[in-house]
Amino acid sequence: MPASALTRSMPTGRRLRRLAVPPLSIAAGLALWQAAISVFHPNKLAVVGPWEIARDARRLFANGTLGADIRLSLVQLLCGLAIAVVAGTAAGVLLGASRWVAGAVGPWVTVLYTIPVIAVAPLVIVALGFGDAAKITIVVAAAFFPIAISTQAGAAAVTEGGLRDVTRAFRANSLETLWYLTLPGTAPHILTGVRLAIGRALIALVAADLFGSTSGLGYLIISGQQNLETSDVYVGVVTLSVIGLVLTGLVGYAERRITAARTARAGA
Amino acid sequence: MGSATTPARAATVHDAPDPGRPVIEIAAARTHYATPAGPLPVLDGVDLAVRPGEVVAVVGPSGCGKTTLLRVLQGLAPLDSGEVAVHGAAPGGAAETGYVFQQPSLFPWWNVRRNIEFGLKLRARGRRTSAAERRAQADRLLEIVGLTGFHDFRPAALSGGMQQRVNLARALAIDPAVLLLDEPFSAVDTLTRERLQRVLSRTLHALGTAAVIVTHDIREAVFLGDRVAVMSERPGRIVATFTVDHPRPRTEDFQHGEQLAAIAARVYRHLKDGDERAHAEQAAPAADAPHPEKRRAR
Ligand SMILES: Nc1ncnc2c1ncn2[C@@H]1O[C@H](COP(=O)(O)OP(=O)(O)O)[C@@H](O)[C@H]1O
Ligand SMILES: [Mg+2]
Repeated sequence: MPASALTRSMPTGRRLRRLAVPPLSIAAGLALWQAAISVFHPNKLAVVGPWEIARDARRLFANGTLGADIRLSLVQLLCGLAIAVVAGTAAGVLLGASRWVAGAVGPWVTVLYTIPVIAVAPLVIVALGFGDAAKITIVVAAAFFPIAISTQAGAAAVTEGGLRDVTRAFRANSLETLWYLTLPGTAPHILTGVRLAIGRALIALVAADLFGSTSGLGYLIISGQQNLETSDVYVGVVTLSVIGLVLTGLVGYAERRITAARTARAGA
Repeated sequence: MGSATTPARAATVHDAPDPGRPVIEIAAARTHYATPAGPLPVLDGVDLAVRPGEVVAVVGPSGCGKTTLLRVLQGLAPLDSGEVAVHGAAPGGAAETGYVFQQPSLFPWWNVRRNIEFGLKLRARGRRTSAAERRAQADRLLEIVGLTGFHDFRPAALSGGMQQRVNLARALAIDPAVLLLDEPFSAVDTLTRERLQRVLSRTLHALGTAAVIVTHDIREAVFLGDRVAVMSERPGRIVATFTVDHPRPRTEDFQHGEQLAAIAARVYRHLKDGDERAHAEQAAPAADAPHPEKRRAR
């Protein structure tokens, strides 16, 4: 029996209980953390508890800085991701569709993929300045490769699969083949690449803020470190984690929906 | 291309609308595949002509070049020498041929209706259809193949037999002059296969579509074909043609009757002996004694 059928036939009570596990786990972890702080009283410069982080977050939110930091970072992140999705999909489709391109460009992709973004971030900032352009470029550089590599695998499978014969037999031209076969056939792989790219993009964004910025979640973290406001550091880190969790969750959901619709044995 | 010759052995065909110009002609066709071990000749002088509305079944041993022959007719594979023409022009041109693959090969991300509409949506050949026209055509074909009501289903939710009906409907949706079918029912169980054979016979009759159907199932070939062409071992050529003198669309009675069994037995004997000198052989229209021991061989 396929897993989806199992999920469907699961009684509502059990399903609710399963859905309740992740939030309960997080709540329990926070409670333990707070309890440990009250018992051991660690150095406040290194560790602060969830209660204090929440209080600091409320303060930063009330004076408007947290909202502005989130907005700026989200705009830079989403712009960078959008560009990386378009460029990474295009590159992946080209790499997957042609053995020749894969042979010529593939090694470059591998080499560039292994360069740490932190190493090149200062160079990008020197070239493009301290503004959004540099930040977005650094996000694109981080997010591009996972998307391109995952898309390449998907496009190669589609190009060599039996459905390529169908588009050939129906005499689809290359644009039609791209639109009706390659892109829909590769969509799950593109989404997998995006899911993997989100984490890298968030790290890159903080790294970009490290080398000169006056706002953004990375700036919040870095200025917190410099001013010994440890709870600011935690607020920035937690906010980034929540953004990462939400985005990854959304993309993962789309991924599962697509796959389920293509493989579900029952009903329309 | 129009100079392709009609093989002399073509006999009169029951029920063919116009015994005039063939919709498909292939003559002295030779081709090969390049392999690491050198060129592998696959077709070696294939001659075949299909008239409008006629159904020709091609049987031959596995690996003899049946799929290659269909790919040549579809314009997907080149010839080394010889002639091939669809409606007097090179295949792949203006004249439409529909292709039904051995595996259902439906697009898993589309529902049944959108799969059937696929050929109509392609603009590559300058044919533009409105969404309403496409929908009407898809629904008409769903009815013909007996799948009314399943238009919203995704392929994964259909049985193998139903998927193969959609596959058939998709190929027919573009109103092809000729339908090319590559062992279309070999992946489904026996009962479903026999039902699909009847669906196909009815459908081709209703639409008046000519067809070349490749199979290794002799009974299927006799059931579906106005003629049955026998291919030799690779490199394949057509070594005999049998006329099946029974009106279409054909029914269960014919499917399990003595006439089909008798013709199938003759085809089988021919295939088995591999007698390359044999040419057109007019199958006896009726009551030859069935050959039970040979019927097993299909
Ligand atoms: N792409 C290919 N490259 C090399 N050999 C091939 C290729 N396709 C088919 N062949 C060989 O050509 C012969 C005929 O193949 P095919 O037309 O598929 O036969 P059939 O459909 O009658 O089983 C077989 O021996 C097969 O192994
Ligand atoms: Mg074959």
